[in-house]
Amino acid sequence: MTEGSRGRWLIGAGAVAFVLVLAFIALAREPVLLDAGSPEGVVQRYLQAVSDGDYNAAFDYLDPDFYEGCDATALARSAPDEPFSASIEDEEASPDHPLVAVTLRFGSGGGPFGSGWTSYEQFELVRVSGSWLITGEAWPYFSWDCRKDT
Amino acid sequence: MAVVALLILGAIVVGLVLLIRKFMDRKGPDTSDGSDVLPYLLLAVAVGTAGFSLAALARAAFPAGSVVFDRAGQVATALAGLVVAAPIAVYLWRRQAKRRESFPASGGWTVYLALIEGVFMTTLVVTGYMLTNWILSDGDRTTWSDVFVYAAIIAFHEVAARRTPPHSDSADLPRVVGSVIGLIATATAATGIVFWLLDQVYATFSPQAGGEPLMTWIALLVVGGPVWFFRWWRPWPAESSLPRDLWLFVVSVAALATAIVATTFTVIQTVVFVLTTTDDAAGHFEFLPVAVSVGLVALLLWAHHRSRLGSERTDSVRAYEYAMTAIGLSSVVGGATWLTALAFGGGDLITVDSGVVVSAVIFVLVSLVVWWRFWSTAEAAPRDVEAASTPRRFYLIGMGVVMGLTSAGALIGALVVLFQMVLDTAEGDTLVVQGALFVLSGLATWHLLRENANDRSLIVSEDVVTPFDVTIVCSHPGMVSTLFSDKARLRVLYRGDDEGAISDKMAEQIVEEVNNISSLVWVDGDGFRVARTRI
Repeated sequence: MTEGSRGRWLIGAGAVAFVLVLAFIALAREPVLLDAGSPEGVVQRYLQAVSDGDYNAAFDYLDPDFYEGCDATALARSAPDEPFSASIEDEEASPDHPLVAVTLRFGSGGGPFGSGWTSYEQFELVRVSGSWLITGEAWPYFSWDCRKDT
Repeated sequence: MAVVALLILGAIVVGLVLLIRKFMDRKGPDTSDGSDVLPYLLLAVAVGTAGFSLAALARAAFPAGSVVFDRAGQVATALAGLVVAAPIAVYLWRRQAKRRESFPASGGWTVYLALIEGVFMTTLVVTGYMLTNWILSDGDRTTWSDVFVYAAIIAFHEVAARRTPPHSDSADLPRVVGSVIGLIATATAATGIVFWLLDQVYATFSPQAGGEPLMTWIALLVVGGPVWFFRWWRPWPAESSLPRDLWLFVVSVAALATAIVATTFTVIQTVVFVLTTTDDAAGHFEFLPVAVSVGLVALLLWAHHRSRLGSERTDSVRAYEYAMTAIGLSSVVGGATWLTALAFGGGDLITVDSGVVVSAVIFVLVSLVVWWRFWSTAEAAPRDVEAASTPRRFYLIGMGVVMGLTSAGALIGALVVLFQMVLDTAEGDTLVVQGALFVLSGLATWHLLRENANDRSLIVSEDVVTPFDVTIVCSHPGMVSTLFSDKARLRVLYRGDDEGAISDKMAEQIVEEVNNISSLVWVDGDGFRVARTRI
């Protein structure tokens, strides 16, 4: 094997190893898990459940009073088909009704002219029996279809 | 299942490589010119897919503060793109690298580099701006990995381009594309910064102003400035090239037109305020920070790019000046029509706002100055050289056609209104706008076509001679063959006697009589006769 071809093989092997390392990091790395007792932690778990398609688990994070008449099936109907990621932007410091702002990113998000798009959403939370639950019209906006008082 | 999927992917990749080899690497003598545009386009698609897949994989590994994401889905999509595109990219890259050794002036290499520059430099500037904006201010949180991946792709191609620089006629195209991206970002940022500064000053006496974010513009400047500097300000390999001259022309025209519009708008608003407005000055002049910042940056851009066009009257300089002349002439026609409509087209129910009249008058005056300034420069140039130049021909004929069509359209519109009046269905329409436009654009057409006719009389035309056959029947041809043009296919038939010898004087007469047209020439003791032959 000549010097040049050995160098090319090394570069190729290095590139493949780099890709595999990136894939490993992506699969092994868990997102930062926020405190389950905080409003942000509740929103994170709700969105993760929607992302995973576990709508029963997601529905458990919704305020049962506000969503009376609805169930996980209604949520599933409005959930997005494509994958998304979410990052918490800020939290408004209201002790009784905190608002958690979230940026949702749909699509791959790459490409020269943006093959994905973002959506800014706010989640209103209410404390019920010592736990934070999401109340009000929350993304992905399905309650108009099932709520009793609408 | 995974094994089946991998096998299918592998088969796709191998099949694509075999297809490329079958259709592009045929055995036998290479009859191509080495431009290889198709392989380079395929390479660009493969590199683009691999590059964006790698960026997506890096985003999945370093998700920039995302608390929720579909890791498996992102990784699977990115890996699929890489597995398919990367081997094709590597194969084509190595193939084309070898081809460039045989064909160093490959046009495809230039096109490929320009495409990669356009796509990845744009992406780098956008992602770099988002990252810098997030660091400097409270912009949207974004990932840093994109910047590294796209910068690495740009750097890789920069090294390759320096090793085997493009040598085709448009070799500067990739750098010009980078300059476009850098200039747009830098000019936008500079305008934003100047606007912010002026807005701060304006905010001291106007409560409406102020509050624009400075850091956003600085973030854009931090990213766009180096790109522009690196691509535009480094020494160029040649004094002049088509892509570079074209870009200089576009920026010079666009920047000067923008500066003139900003200045004219400011003058109009000032005059309108002095003559008519009773509002407070702060409210009326709220546009000043925008107009001044846009005008100032446009003026600086114009000064820089115009100086690079050079002082010698080249075709690039002519193209710039005739483009400005065209803008001036069109604006004169449009503005004068507007003014005529204001003067004669107003209804009796309302009076025309004097501010609008002032605007129209200033618009027409500025347009006239622009047109006259550039037209008189063209008129002062040596006429015989100027008349034959492509930009002037293009201006006179192109604008002549546009103005002529405008005039014809206006005439049709005027006739429609006229017939409506005759039939009593006009519903308040008047002939003013159509009539004014017909007359003004007609005058412009007349001026342009007259200049074109004058130019044509100055251009020295050469007679075009097409090949023709001459058959001469004589006893001796003399020097006649040397007097015909090189398009003549001459055939001599000997009579077999001494009655038809061609003297030098007769040879000249024969050539004049034939007049480059296929003929049969009979020479005898009485002289010569010429008969035209069928073509």
